[in-house]
Amino acid sequence: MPPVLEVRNVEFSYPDGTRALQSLSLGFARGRRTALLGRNGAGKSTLFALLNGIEKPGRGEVHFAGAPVGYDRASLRQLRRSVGVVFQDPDAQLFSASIREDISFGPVNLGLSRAEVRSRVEAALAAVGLSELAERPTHALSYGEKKRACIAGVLAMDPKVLILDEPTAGLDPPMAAELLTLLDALHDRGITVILATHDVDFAFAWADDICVLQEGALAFHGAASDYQAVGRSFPSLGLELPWVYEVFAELHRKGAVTGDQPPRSRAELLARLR
Amino acid sequence: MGLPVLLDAYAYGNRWRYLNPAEKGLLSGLALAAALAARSPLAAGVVFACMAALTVGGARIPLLTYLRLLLLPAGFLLAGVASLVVSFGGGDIPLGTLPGIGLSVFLSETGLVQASLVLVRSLGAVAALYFLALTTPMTEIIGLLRRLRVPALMLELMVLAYRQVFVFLQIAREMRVAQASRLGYATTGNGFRSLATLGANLYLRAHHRSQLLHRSLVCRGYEDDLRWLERDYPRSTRNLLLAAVVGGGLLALSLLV
Ligand SMILES: Nc1ncnc2c1ncn2[C@@H]1O[C@H](COP(=O)(O)OP(=O)(O)OP(=O)(O)O)[C@@H](O)[C@H]1O
Ligand SMILES: [Mg+2]
Repeated sequence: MPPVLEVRNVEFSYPDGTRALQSLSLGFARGRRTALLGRNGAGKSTLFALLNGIEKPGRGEVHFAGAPVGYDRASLRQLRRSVGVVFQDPDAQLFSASIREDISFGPVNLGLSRAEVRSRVEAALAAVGLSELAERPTHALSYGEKKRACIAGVLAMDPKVLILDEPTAGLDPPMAAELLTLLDALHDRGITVILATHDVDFAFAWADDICVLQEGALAFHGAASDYQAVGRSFPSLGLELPWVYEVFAELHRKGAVTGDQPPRSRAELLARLR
Repeated sequence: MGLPVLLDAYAYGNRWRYLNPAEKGLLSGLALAAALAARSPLAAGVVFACMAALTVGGARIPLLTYLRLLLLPAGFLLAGVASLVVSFGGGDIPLGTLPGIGLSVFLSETGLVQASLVLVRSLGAVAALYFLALTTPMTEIIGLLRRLRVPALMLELMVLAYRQVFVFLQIAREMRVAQASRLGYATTGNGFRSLATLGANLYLRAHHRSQLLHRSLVCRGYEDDLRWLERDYPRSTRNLLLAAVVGGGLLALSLLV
C-alpha cells in the first residue's frame, strides 16, 4: 500500500544552523499506527512540523496522498485539512479561555456551517471525555485535561492523519490508558495515527510500526511485533526494550510461557504464563 | 489569590452565570452611565447600593469577598480625592500646622462636597463594572462586545491577552518557586536580583510561547483572522425588560436628582 504521508530525502536545518534532519526518507502507511521513538533532540518534533507544512525542507520533498506538497496558501490549506498535529505543550496551543471556543476554531476555519461546527465540537469533547468540563475555563483545567482539549481541537477537524507529539507526557497511568483507548477508536475509524513518545512500553503496546530517529536520521523502521529485529537494533541505539519483551524472552528461555510471539501487554503476558 | 484569579473564579461560579450576557451587560452599562451622570451623591449612592445588592444578593457573591474586592479601587479613590479636600496655606476649615515646616493645613468646604460626589460616583461606577465582571466570564463579555460590533482585531487581542494572563501567572509562580527553593529570595539583595531575572525570562518565555501558539493556530487553519463559534444563550424577554427598567430607572434617577 502506498504511504499516505511521506518524506523523501529530506534535509532540514534551523536558521541558527542546527541540522535537525538529514537525508531522511520515511513513509507512513494509510490506516497504520506508528510510534516514533528517539532521544531528546533526535528530530521528532521537527519532522512533525515538516509533515504539516509548518516548516519547509531545505532539500527533499514531503508527499501527501502520492503528490508532493506545495507551499502556496491553497496547497497548505489542503494539507492541513487532512493532517492534524497536536503539539507537546498544551498551554502553547489553547488560545481561548473557553475550551468550546477553542475547539470550534479549526472547524470554523474549514468553513463549515454553524450546526456542523457545533456537532463536531460536541463529538470531539465526548471523544476525549471532556463534555462534563466544557464549561470550565481553560486555566482551571489540569495538565492532562488541557492536553485532551488540544486533541479535541484537532479531532474536530476530522483529519485523515493525526499526529501527536508526546501525548502521554504528563498523563497519569489511567489517563494514558484512556488515551490509548481513544487512539484505538480513531484507528478503527481508519485514521492514520502517528505519535512521538519516550515511553517505549506504551509504543510497543499500541503501535503497528515503530520508527526510531537518531540525530535526524532514520535508525530503525519495522513492525512492533518483529521482536527479533527490535531485539537486535534497540540495544545498539541506546534504547530500552519494552519490559514485556525482556521478561517474555527470559521466561521463554525457561519454558515458562506459551507461544513464541511476545505479548504486547502486561495482561497478555500474565495470561500466557504456564 | 490575585485579583484576576478571584474575579475569574466568581465569573464562572455564581448564580447568574448562565443568564444571557446581553441582559447583564445592559444593566451594567446603564448603571455605569447612571453613576457617571449622577449630579448628587444621593443618586450615585443609590446606583452603588443597588448594584452591590444585586451582585451580593442576586448573583450570591460572598459579601466579604465583595468588600475585599472593593478595597483596592477604594484605596486609590481615597488617595485621589484627598487632594480635593486638603489644601495648604489657605482654606475654609483650619486643621492645624505641620510641625517642623510650619505649613498650615486646611480643609476646603467646596472640596468636601466635590470629593464626596466624586467618591460615590466612582464607587457606583466600580460596582456597575464589578457586577458584570463577577457574573460573566470574560469570553462571554467578549462575545457580547462582538455582537455590539466592536472591531474583530480588538476582540482577538482581548481573547489572547486574557488567556495569556493566566498562562503567565502560572509561569511566573513556577519560576518564583524555583528561585525561592534555591534561596533566590533569602536576602533583599538576592530578591532584587531574582526578580530582575524573573522579569527578563518571562519576556523571553512570552516571546517563545507566542511563536508556538502561532504555529499551532496555523496548523488548525489560521490564516488572518481568529474566528470561533459563539455559544447561544437562552433569551428571556422578562430579564431583558427587568434589566432595562432597573438600569433605566437608575439613569433617570441620576439625571433628575
Ligand atoms: N527553533 C529551533 N531553533 C534552533 N534549533 C532547534 C529549534 N527547535 C529544535 N532545534 C534543534 O533541532 C534538533 C531537533 O529538535 P526536535 O525538537 O525536533 O527534537 P525532538 O526529537 O522533538 O526532541 P524532544 O524529545 O526533546 O522533544 C535539536 O538539536 C534541537 O536543539
Ligand atoms: Mg519534541
